[in-house]
Amino acid sequence: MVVIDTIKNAMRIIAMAADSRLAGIRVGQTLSDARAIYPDIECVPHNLDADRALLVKVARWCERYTPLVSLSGQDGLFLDITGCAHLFDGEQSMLEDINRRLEAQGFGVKSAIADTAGAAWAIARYGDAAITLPNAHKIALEPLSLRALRLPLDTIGALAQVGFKTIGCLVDLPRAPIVARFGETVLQRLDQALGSEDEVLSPLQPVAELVYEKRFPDPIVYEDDIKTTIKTLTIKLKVNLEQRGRGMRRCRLQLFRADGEVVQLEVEASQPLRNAHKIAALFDERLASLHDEWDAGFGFDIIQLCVLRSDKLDAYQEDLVSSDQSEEVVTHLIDRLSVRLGQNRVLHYQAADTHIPERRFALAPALHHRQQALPVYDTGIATRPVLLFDRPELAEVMAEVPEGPPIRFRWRRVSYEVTRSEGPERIACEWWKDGRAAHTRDYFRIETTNGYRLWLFRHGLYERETDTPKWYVHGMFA
Amino acid sequence: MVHRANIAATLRQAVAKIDGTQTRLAVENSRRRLSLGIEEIDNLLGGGIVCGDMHEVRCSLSRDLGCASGFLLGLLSGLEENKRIVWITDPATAPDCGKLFPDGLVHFKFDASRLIQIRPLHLNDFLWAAGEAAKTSGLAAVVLHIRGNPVGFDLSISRKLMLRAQTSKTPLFVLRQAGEEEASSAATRWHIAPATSLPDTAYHRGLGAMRQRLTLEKHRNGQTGNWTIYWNTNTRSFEHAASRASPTHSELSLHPSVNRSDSPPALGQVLAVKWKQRQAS
Repeated sequence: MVVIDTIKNAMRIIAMAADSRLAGIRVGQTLSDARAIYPDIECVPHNLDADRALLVKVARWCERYTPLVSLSGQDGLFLDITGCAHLFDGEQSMLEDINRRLEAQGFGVKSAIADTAGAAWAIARYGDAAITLPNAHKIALEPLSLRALRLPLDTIGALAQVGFKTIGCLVDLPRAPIVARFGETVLQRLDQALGSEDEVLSPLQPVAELVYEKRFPDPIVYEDDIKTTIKTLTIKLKVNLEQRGRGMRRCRLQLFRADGEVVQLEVEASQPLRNAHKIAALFDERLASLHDEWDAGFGFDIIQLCVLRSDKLDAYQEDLVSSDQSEEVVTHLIDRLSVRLGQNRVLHYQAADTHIPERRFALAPALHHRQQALPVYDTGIATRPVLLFDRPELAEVMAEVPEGPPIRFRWRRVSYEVTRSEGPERIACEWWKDGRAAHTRDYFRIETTNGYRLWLFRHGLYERETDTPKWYVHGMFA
Repeated sequence: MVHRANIAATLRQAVAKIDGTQTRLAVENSRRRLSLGIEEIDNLLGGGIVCGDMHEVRCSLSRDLGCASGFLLGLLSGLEENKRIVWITDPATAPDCGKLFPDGLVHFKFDASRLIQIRPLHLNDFLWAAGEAAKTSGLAAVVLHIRGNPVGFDLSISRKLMLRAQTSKTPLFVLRQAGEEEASSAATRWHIAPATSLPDTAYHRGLGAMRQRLTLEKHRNGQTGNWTIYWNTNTRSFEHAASRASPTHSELSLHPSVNRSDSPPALGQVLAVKWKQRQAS
């Protein structure tokens, strides 16, 4: 089986299965040539998005080794294992573990450990040593082809024309003429590989402030086991947070499934939190909100708890007697409801700087916005309805022309007769938002013969803005 | 006979009125009671509605929701002001009920920033959230706004909620929009409908205080009744509307139950025929 893509106006093979029956087929060959050798060759078009999605998945999985995993092109990963290797009994066994586990998942792996990302990239692809000792990467790089420098193909071609074939050729040359002739990238890539210039790897996910993990020799499957693990992890986390004087705001749980899947669950808290039971309770809600949508498969072998965001939380003494902890209880309720129902389902009012009734107050997630005092329009008498419709509802109204109050109207397919009314209260449009053609509203508070009090408005000034103004019902009084 | 506790409550209120620290919340025998401000109703209830119980406010039609919310807000504004209120809305109510409008809530001296609005997607989530909120003790009140009589919100659920509310001492209110009378474990059930009001006292063409017809449909001790009331912003309490008939409407001279259906619909279904009547005929 081969994977094909269009390169230089021809269908070419870009990857192929390691299969002895495909002798004579090589990467870069056009599909028609390959068909000439094997007429019934099975070919699959290249799917860039699927490849990338798979690579991201593998990258997520690699977070079991280090939190700093970044993508390299379309087919590689960088793992910054600084300070992580000792957790796996040294670099050798770490590399073996990575290779063994990835091969068990069915991937072909080439890997290398070196001092710099560039050197590791070169040695993994073109070298043979799996581990380059510290400071030995320069010697290891010298015999390698210039392709190992991550340069564009035409630059490599141009360098080859003047006789530069290996990295070693470039190392001791005067720098200025190379920049002048081949551009800055050549030396930049060389410096990055040799370590004289830093290369910044951007990790796939923001690096957590704190990570706690638990590894299991035998994967765990049951929800209760997972919950118990979460509890032990949060207790460890609490101690550390206490020492730092911080509380978690956002936390992620990563469950590494034995077959390579990674399940990520995030919870947020509206106030800094470090009480182990409360953090665990948030995760319990998160697990409950998944219902049956997740699959433990063959079980999870690593559970990681990462603190993504934390805020300052000074130590305080918990009171045994009767101090008012109601605020804390309510905050925890908001957190739990937000985790279970979704943060857009637990809301409170936030004021907006506008005078248009339906825009004055927005419902914002209680998780992210603090409770704030609302600047309300208070005239001392009930001029505003208790319930306001998001969208004013159209009504058929008979009113005095041009600016009189409604006399009778039909709303929601019921006719009403007006006994008393107060108005108009004129609310002008926001021309800076709605445009100059937007209509003015004349609001009337009316009472119908059967006692209903409604807030109606005429949309548009008669003759000045429109000839046929429409009427809307906008709210109900109480 | 006037209950001794009521005398104490009235005296306390009188003192508070003089001090200017009037609150409608009174504590008796470790039970807090919320008075409505109308003596007749409060006496009937034994001093006010009991906090830490479940109470239901219902209206028959969706368009009556304004009144029903108003009555509920009037009750809520008498509770502790520094605590928050959880208002859980059944997803079925969304299309035609609008949203509480902070500018309008000023009339009830109710600070809308205290509200935590919860809008679950499903009734199951609604009931879960209701249960969680009901057992939280740091809240001023929990309001469950539902539409009609959903099958999931049955007697056993309401009993469970009430037990939780009793443990946490958090008042629990069910605001039932366009719903029928239904057997539930609510301590009281109120029915609200709009009533025609009088013109403004200062300006004869203006709108006077809005009146509501309040019916106590269910009460533990069996005493029920109906009244025409209005909300007085200045005293922050409900008041009995003047009994003289409105010039535009003679409704008030009729029996207060005039707006209700002529006979209350029977609960459940009639399965057996009335044998006695048959034998007699």
